[in-house]
Amino acid sequence: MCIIMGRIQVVLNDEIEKKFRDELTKEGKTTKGSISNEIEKLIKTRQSQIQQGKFVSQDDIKINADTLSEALEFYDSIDTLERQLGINLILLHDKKTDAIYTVCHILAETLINKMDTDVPIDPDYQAQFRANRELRPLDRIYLRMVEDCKSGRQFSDIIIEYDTKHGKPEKPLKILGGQHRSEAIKESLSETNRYHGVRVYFNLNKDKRTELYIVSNTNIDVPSDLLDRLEEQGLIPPNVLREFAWGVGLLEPGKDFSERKSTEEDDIPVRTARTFIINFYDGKNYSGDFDNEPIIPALCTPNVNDEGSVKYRKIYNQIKERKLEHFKEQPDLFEAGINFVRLHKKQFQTIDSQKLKGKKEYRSKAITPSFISAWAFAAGVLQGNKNRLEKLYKLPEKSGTLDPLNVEVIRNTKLEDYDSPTYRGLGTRSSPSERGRVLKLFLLYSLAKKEKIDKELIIAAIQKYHADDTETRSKQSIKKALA
Amino acid sequence: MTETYFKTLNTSSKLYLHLAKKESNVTKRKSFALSVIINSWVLLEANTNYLSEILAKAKVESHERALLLDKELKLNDDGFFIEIRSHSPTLKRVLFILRRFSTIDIGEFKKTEIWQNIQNCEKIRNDLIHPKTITKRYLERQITVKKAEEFRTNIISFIKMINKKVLNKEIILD
Repeated sequence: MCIIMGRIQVVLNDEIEKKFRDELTKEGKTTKGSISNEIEKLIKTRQSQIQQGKFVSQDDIKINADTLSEALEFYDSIDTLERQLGINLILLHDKKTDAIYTVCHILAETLINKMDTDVPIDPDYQAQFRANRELRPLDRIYLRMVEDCKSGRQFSDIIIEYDTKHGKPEKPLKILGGQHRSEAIKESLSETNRYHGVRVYFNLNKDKRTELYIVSNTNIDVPSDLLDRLEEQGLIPPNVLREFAWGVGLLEPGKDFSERKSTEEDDIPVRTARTFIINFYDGKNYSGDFDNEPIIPALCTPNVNDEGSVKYRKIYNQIKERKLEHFKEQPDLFEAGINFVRLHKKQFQTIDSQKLKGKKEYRSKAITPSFISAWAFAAGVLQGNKNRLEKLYKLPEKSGTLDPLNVEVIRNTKLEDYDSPTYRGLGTRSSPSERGRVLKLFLLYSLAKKEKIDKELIIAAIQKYHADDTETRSKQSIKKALA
Repeated sequence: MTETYFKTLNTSSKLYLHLAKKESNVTKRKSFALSVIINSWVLLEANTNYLSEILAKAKVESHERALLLDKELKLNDDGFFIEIRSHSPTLKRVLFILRRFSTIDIGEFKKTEIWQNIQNCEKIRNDLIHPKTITKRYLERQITVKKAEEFRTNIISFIKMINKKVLNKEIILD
């Protein structure tokens, strides 16, 4: 049989022609011209095979010579799983950015040897400005990534630009998206070496690179307090912190922890409750001369593996191992919780009933990081001194009609000539020295004959903190000199 | 910015220096220069007292606390130690503070330029505050605008250094 198609003549033997016609009949293609159409399609498909054995492309894209040459170089120089299996890679076209890319799998070791995470957006003219954000090695999500990777997890869709023209040609796999995953792969390489999925772009210019970088690094912001709440939900035994918060009144019974920082009366995030717990224990276990030392209460920062969070996990593990009662079953901790909530509620309600500018901030002063951490530490450390503890617990009653923390005075008191003009009053910020100062305030209050917190007491607390800090530093330096 | 005594003294010495520089009348110029010197020294004394007041709140020995608060311990007729008012020279007290509350090696510190400068300031201060015979020649040589400016600069550098070394905090004077 002969078919005339323009200037191409195709000759098929009888057997092949019969087979071909039968297949077309099965597909319902019996009209005149069906055979020509099928053959035309076959020719087009054949044409789209850019480089036999290496790449196949979408049939509707145009690939310029530079891009193709880069793609072929990538195929030849990077050992992909697809190449090992003799499978063609597919060249795809991102119409939005007009960029050509392929999707494949690379062994961890190869990826680590060839990758570069320190990528400039504009290597031609602004090589000093980096594209990737700073690595957060203590971020819990990152630590989880490392753990998962060590357990054999394969990551996918790491966004890479293949580039040998700019800096570090020996590391042509420039990471545009997936920096933390790449670092996690690197960190776990000594334990596991598996294939990971990558998307490799070729021949990018600055605009395309910028767009890809933005797309690869944008996700809807998940509040870190929500991540804390999710973590708390997963702890075993469950609900220990929640039940404590319900019991003492930090949270309305049945209500869950807030997913964000809040200034409402009973709406606190996990970090606030955790900060209370760790500081109570820190205080209770403190064996030094707490009245004369510059102690810094710890904080639990959400979704960060900081000192406070590590402490909390240690305490929680003790509960898990039944070495410690649940928080609500520990009478001293529970009593401290109830007394703290009394302070918070008195503060909240007194300020809330006044006409004040910025009252949202004032009314929730007790649950700010510096105050809750300092109060809980003081409650813990004074467990051995019932008189002083009682004075601390009675602050809400003793302050009478005033708000117990006297925020109006606190706001305007500072270490004159030393605190910066932008200082907004004791405990507004949560820096270590602020937490130390507030702790001194509660400790001095528990000692003082005064019933209310006043300016004199606040100044004395601030000065006492710095005096103790200076004294401790000088002692340490003497010790160091004599060692 | 809250106005405090330190800031007032600092502003005052700065203002007199400005006036001295602008003044063409010699007598008036000397008067302004003299005020620069006295106000600068008072600033050092005020700051030393304030620093002492803070440090006295630390856990220190009773004789150290007494010294910081311009007192000393004396045995009374009944065999008890009592605190009586006593004044130590400012620089002596500063040396005690630096030795006791910072990592400074006093022997080495005494060889530094900053210490030599401040000792010169003290000498001028003593001549002016406790005058015996202030000659015209002394007035002409010591009470000049240039000397007053140097005096002020040395005092402020010294104050900043003490605060940084002891409290580990910058003092804000402006």
